[in-house]
Amino acid sequence: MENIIEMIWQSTGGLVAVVGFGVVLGVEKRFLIWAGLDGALGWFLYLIVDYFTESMLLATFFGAVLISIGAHVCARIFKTPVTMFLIPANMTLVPGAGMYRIVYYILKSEKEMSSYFFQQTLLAAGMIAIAIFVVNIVLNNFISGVKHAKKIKGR
Amino acid sequence: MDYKLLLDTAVFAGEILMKNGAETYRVEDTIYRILKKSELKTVQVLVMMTGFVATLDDPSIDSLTVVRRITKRGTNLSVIDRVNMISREFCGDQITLEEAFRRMKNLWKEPQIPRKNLISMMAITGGFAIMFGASIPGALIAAFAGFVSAYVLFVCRRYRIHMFLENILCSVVLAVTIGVIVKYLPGTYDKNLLIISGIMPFVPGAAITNAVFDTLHGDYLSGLARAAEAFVIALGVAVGIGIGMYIV
Repeated sequence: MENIIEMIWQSTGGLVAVVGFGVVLGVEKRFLIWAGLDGALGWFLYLIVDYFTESMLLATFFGAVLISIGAHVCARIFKTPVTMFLIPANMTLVPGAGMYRIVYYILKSEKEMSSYFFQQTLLAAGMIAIAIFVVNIVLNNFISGVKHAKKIKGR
Repeated sequence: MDYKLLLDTAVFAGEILMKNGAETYRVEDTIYRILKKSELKTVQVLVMMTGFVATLDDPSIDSLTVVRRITKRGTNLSVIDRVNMISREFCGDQITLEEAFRRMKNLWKEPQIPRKNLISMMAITGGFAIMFGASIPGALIAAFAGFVSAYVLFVCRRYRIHMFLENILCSVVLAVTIGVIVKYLPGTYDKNLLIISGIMPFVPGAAITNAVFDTLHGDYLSGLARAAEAFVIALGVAVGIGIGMYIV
């Protein structure tokens, strides 16, 4: 239970951060809160998956999937580009920590650790990419497929 | 129809989109849709991350071609949205060409950072500190460091310092600020965590997302270019953090 409260508190921090990002990236005011909620939910899922599986990569993947779905839904509702929500919300998952650890271990001249984190950082970026790919393709194909099916039925 | 004005409008739209960090396929699509309104035989657009070519041709007119090189890029998502809206209204015959041109011209601004961003940078770094599990005093330190590094960014933009050097300077200042505060302020803080949340505003998240989107739409050239951009940004931040931690 205590863990859950801690996770919600951390996700709230994520919400503040994403809203800040939205302002810097020039997201319109009425979209800010939605982008923030999207990012916070993604981070919450990240924490939960990380807690149960202890795999950073898996957690990044599922977090990015949730964020992408949220961004697509928001974009459809408000009729704006997906990137309006996706870019700020995704900032929560971008592997900044990995980047730092690479440099940290290079400075400590621990070569093995730094190359390990180099690998992890690249993989995490790749996971985000795959998540965006999958969600985009599935959602777009699903919608155009439904339209196509209706067209055939109408004939 | 005034083809010259149509081409000018399309080029304006493309240039604004690219300067504000739109994905390549969106730029190509927007220019193509606007030019398609001419109903001429040949409409061709080629967009790359660093510039674009657009051409209009028909047996009845002399062919018109425009090349534009884009050197400065920022990110402003609401401008992209507005260009999108103007082009959608124009293509749906809701506004005239002159009206579309006038509205595009109003959007034409140099990318710059307003002062309120200094406050937002504090929200970003403080928020990320809490998100990564720091205590509230830790988040306040991160917010302060974020403010300082944002101010450095602000000054760098004013003197038009190169992007790579800009990232290095900001992260050096950030690492030094956090290092000094953690060293001399009573109480124990996780220095690594604070620096990680401090560098988050400079991490190339937008470049990564755009790289994925470009690749997804089959624009492999721009996708790779953006991935390279993300790498260069990350390298700058990494070098800066390295120098900063070495100093303190």
